[in-house]
Amino acid sequence: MYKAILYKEWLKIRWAVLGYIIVLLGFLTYIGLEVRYWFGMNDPISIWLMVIQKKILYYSAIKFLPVFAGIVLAVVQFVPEVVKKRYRLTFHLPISETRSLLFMTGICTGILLLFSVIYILGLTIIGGSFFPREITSSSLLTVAPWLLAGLVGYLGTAAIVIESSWIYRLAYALMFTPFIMKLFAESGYNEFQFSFGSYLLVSLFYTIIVLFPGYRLRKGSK
Amino acid sequence: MIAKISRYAILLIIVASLSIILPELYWMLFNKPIYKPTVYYSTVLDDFIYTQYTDKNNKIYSDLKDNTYDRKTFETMVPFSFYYDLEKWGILPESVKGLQITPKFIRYNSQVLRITPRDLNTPLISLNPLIESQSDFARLEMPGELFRIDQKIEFITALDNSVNDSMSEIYNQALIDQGFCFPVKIIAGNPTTRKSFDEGYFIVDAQNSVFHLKKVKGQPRCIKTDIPSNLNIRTLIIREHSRKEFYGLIVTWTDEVYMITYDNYSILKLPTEGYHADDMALLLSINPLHKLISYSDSREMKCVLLDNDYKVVNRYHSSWTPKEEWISSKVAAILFPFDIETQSRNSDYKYLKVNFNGITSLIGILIALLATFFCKRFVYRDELTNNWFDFVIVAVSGIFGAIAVLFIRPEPWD
Repeated sequence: MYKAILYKEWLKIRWAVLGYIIVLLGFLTYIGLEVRYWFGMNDPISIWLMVIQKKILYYSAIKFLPVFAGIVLAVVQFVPEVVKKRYRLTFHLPISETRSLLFMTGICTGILLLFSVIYILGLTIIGGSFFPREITSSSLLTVAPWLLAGLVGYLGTAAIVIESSWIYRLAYALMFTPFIMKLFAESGYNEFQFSFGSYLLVSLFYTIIVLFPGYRLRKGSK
Repeated sequence: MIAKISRYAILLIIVASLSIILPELYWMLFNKPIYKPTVYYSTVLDDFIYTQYTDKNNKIYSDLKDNTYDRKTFETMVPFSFYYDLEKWGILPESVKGLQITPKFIRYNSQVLRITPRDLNTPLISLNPLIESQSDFARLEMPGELFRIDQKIEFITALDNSVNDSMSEIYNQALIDQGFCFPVKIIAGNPTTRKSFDEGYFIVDAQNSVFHLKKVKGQPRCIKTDIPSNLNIRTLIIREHSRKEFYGLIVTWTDEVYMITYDNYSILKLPTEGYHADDMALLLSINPLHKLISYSDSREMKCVLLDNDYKVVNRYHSSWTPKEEWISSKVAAILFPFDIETQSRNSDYKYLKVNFNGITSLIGILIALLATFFCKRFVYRDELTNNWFDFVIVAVSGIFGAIAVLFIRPEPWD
């Protein structure tokens, strides 16, 4: 049963997954080339000092990619389900709506984590090629809230899409956004180093929010 | 059951979001600037004088006896601070208090050093350039490598991003020869070439001893200073100045401020009673006759005037109604039982810190509880006993919880 759901989910999201991987690799290549260009045109020490002292984030081009990926994945995964209320067919399967919803969101959470691995690997390769390890590790610490925003953005969008009432959708959209926006509030590196754990803790609440709209969908609530 | 828990998760997220966004919106509407005075010491009046905005468009120039002046008269009373204007107007006096002055003399004998809470609360990657301090050339130049110092000192060449082992070894040995104990606790310098000379770095080792490291003709010069190891140093602010009176300042974890003098690194405690490094900006302004220390936060400003022998000559204190005592703050405390602070003007770090607004917020909570009960009982006609936890949420989070539970209503649960 789970294998069948997995296959169904893959059919829906495969193009978005492949498209995002291409976009992500494209952006990473661009950042790599841009940094290489900087080093080719300037004194390397001035680039290092620009990153350290002026706190220029050379990887800011990929700041919003994870949250973009999360939103797109949620849309392509759940919009086909809510159009003509197809998702209600799932209620006839021999697994509960809770399990099926958590499994479905689990699949895309796993995919977003895979995206994050590519993201982190790319930054590690670029950082390791041009910068001392302190700058590379600070880049990974700095992007951690952005990657978290991807996961939270996905879970929030999934809940919004599954929700059957437009008023609730609007309320969710308004209320899920402030927290996500705060994850992009940095103006330099390592600024979340003491608070990332707290943000992670609040994000845990997002892992189950999809179940209430699912329940409302099954009940036919307006 | 799990759907019910899911709803509570949504409610908690909404409460968190509202407690971030509503207080922010509230203060966008009701916040107003605090007009702090800018204090000078007038060598003409032999007393403090100040400028202060009374509103956005009105700036007064006044002394402590409430005499007000026009801007030009005011500036003539503070010749060391406005000598460039006085020079332009051709009225710069030839001497002040018997001291012959010229713009060049004033410039040479003036220094301003500022420490803000943000300077102490900002993330920094600990990679620093060690600038040649006795270059053959007039201008300072950035070296081709940065160094990291933790368990040992390592120089990394920027050209190929590799460790320069030979250089690292020479500097390691220089530190060890002076009795340096790794790992490093604090390193402080002024890594810029926009200054006339370089004094390298002051480094606090594992035993709290302070070492001075600089590069002289490509070679290390490391000195173990006599700065006491029990100072409980929080940070050092190093600022080179041609007068070579002091290397910089030490701020301790007990909010004391010391000056590291050029007199064999002897330290001098500055009279900064009531200074709180995490909340107050400290300004040390030096002119040919005096040293003025001023420090202020959102409640008060204190100034201490020292003569050239660092003896206290005069003091100034000014306070104003702090934001916490504004009517809008009291209304906010009733409206919002708490707010979530995500950033502070005193720090570059981001937070997720809950600030409770005290006992007055019980009024707001009570109103929120009554409003919730009224809406649920008479408007929505919800099942109350089955969803009692909604009232717990409102009892804890007041208006935030009330909005959340009234918008996201419970379902008829399985």
